Amino acid sequence: MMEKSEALQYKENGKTRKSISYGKSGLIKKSIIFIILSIVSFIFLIPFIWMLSTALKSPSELVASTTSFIPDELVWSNFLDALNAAPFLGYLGNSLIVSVSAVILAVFLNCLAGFAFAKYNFKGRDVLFIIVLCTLMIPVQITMIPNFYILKQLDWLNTYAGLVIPRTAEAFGLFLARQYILSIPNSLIEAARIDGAGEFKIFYKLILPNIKPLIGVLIIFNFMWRWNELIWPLIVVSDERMYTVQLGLAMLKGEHYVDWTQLMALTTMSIIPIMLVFLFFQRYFIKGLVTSGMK
Amino acid sequence: MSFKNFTQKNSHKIAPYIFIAPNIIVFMVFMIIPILFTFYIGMTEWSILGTPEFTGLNNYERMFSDPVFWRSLVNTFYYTAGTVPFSVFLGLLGAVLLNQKKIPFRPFFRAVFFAPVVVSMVAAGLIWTWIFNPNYGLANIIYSYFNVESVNWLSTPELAMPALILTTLWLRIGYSLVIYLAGLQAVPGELYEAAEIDGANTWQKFWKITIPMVKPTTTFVAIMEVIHGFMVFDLIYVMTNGGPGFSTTVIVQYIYQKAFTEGEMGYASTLATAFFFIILLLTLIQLRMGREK
Amino acid sequence: MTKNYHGKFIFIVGCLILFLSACAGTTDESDGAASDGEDSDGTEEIEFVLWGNSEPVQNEVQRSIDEFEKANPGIKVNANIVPPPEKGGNYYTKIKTRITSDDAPDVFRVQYQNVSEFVTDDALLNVTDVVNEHKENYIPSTLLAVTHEDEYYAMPHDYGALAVYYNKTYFEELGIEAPKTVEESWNWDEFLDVAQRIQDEGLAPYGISIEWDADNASRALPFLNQNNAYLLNEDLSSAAINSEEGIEAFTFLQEMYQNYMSEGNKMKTSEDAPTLFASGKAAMYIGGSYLINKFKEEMDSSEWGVTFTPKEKSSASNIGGNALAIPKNSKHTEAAKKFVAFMAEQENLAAWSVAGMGLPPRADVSPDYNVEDPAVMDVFIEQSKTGHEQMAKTVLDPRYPKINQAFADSLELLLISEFTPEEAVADVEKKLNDIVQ
Repeated sequence: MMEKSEALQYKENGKTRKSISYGKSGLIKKSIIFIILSIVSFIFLIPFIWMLSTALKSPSELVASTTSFIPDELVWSNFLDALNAAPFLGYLGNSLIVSVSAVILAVFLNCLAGFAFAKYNFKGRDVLFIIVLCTLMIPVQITMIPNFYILKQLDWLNTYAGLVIPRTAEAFGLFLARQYILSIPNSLIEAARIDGAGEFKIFYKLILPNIKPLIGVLIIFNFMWRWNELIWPLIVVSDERMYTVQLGLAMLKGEHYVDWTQLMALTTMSIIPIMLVFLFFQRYFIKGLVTSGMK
Repeated sequence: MSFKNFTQKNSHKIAPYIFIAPNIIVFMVFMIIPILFTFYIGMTEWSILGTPEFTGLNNYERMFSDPVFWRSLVNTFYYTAGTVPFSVFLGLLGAVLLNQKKIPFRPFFRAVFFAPVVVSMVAAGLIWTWIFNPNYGLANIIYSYFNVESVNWLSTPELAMPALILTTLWLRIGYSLVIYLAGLQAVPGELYEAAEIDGANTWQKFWKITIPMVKPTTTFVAIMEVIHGFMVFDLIYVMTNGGPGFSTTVIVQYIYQKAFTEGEMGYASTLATAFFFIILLLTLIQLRMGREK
Repeated sequence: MTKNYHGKFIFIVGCLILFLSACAGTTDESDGAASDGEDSDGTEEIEFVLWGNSEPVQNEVQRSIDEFEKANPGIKVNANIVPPPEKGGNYYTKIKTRITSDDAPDVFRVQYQNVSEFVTDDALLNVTDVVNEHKENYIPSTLLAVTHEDEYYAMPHDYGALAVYYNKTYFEELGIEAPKTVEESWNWDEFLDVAQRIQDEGLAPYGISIEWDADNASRALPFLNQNNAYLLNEDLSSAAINSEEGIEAFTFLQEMYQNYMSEGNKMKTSEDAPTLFASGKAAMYIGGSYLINKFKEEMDSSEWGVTFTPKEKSSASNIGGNALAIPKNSKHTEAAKKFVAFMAEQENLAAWSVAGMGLPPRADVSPDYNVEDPAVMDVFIEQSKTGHEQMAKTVLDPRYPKINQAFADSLELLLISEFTPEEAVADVEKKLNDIVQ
């Protein structure tokens, strides 16, 4: 990959001397860039293609002495077999419940707290905010041992509550929310207050409608984080009925022997939901990143 | 009645506390208190079945003479140093290319580069484990094409970490690319036009205009990537489990291994505490650097 | 107006919390029923945690549970089938945490090498009365594994040994005869020579593959014992591995791995050893009898055979197999005991052995294995008799899980040549002394 990019710089370098705003050489330059982008994006797609190709191979072709990129015959039944072999639909259901409820809770609570941190002067605000900021750098792994016992005390092991609630205090989300809400003019809030609006009404009627792009970003981020998370479910869940998709996949790899056609079929199915979210909200996502992530 | 009056009058004073309460409570219960607990458990000896036994600084003594601990620190830095510069630079490069006007299929390219970012580390780890499989994997096709002997990346001590880094780059480049794309929008076009009039070539424009102008983005991306690098776990858990030997054992994975595989809660907490202070130190350095800027 | 919105806020948060606790509640119910007591209709539910992902095993679990429930109308058994205790599944950690946090399963499957750790931590229920019923019939080594101060703390459920599966096609092509009796076993040189010949002919890239991993480093112990090398001394008070025999054994292991095995097939595995054999990439495979299920499915019966593991100074075997144990703080000890006693019945042990292709722990149980060549099972039985007492004492010691980890770590570094055999032996010695002294 490195070599490619070096070659690319070199090419660009050699080309550009002549390329100052003359249409023809500009076209050549664009074609070269286009070709480079095509090649690199094909490389980026290879793992996906390989995953699909494996998922559709017959087990005997998989371990055949010659490895082929395109399966001889497409064995769609791998997907069904995989679903039968592992309670994957259950995992999917768990992941959906966890991700969706975590998104709702986290986005709501982060915006609310972000609003407070951005627009109120209250005792302890800065200290609290710095504490929150510090936790941005702290991985779950540092706290996982005590957390395990705290969850036990709350009787939250193997529950959705245990999977969702501790992860709603997402420092990054809170940070984003505060930064974004800071840019809303104070005069708007003052005006609303003079009109007699209560504090929650201000949040509900004034702030929320003004931070829609932020909410979009937070929804996608939170969904992605929760959907893709391994370590937290690994700590919280021991009962197979509560497995999330990622946990299920990681555990399947640990079985006595792995049927890679089925494993890749399941991996494919685990990626589909998050890809859908991404494709649907792509615009929103990138737009949101521009406006909020860049402070 | 008077209480109601009071709350109504002072609602803008009370409200923020109510607003932050749910978040702060969760922070306290699942972040701050556990950290303090970790400090304490780190000074005990505790196998899961028994009760914690206070041993003072014994665990720290053990840690300093534990070669795997040092190894895991080195590996953590290795992984971070191996991923951050590449994903930052390649991300920027990709963004610059994509940012050229009138490149056909631009949204398509952007989507392709970004797609791996949303893939979970577990899924990516599985896919790449399978790609690297020396017997049935994709790498095999490539090797036979070039007629070289197959290399077992994930089982060769010197190659396992590069394999992880390669996987990470596939996963992460799209992230920095998209953020750079956003950052590039903010660079005024007149700057380039002025430079062109002065006869600057693309390369000069890239070094003299683009890089300085996207510096805040670079800082942001680099910080995010460093955070990622220090916390990497899933990928290693799925792909190598720290092996071969300890050549891909990073600190976070070592903590997990000690605590949840070997059941040494006490020593694992010692490691976690040490890691906490390392991160604290790094954060302070980062803050200092940010301030100087 | 203000009040209204405060109300709305509280309402929304309340809804969310309700929603989540409802979600939590649904799982609590199914869990709670399993652990907390009786349903309204008076049936008791017990939870049986085990691993076993082959179809015959799962069917057998279901069959025995159905039978048991029919015979004991008041008891319901929930089988919780989880990933096996290897490759990072954290099986024992999870069981232990459940036991300490008073959320113990009622019956769980446990490898012999892990029983005594639980026993010394006083975590298991005394099941002497269950085992005593057929005491004289149990194979002594399995009984030894569950004994603590003359009382029994688990019911031996199956046992096994490692033997060598070999690819018949390759062997016939080269005219190699596999040993027919323990006495005829290859020595190390002969064993490696077979692998060498197969690799030289280009029949398979790997002569050998082994079913071992960091959680089951004990599967490497037979190689030490074959050279009369042991991890610990007679009374388990200090390491005994740093000897000429030990270094020789380590040298052999390193040579075997370096020259004849897939690089992924070490302690921290990244390779599926059975698949290597089934796909013909490895000519020989050292594994337990439970893998017959897989090979029967994926290979032709004429393609594979089973022979004895090599011997150098003596033959050797590991202690493979599992017991069923009841945590002391199970909330349904009586029902759990009934279930364990049921599983210990002759025909159920036989059915279990057939399903999992394991050996029955009792001499009076003779399973009717569904294999074309019954001699195959005899190899495993014969091999299992070659275990060294010294090895058994070590593996059945409560400190063994720690010893295993130390051994596995050093072995991994030996295999990938980060250690010379001498360094590895010294490393294990130091770590073992830290543990046992």
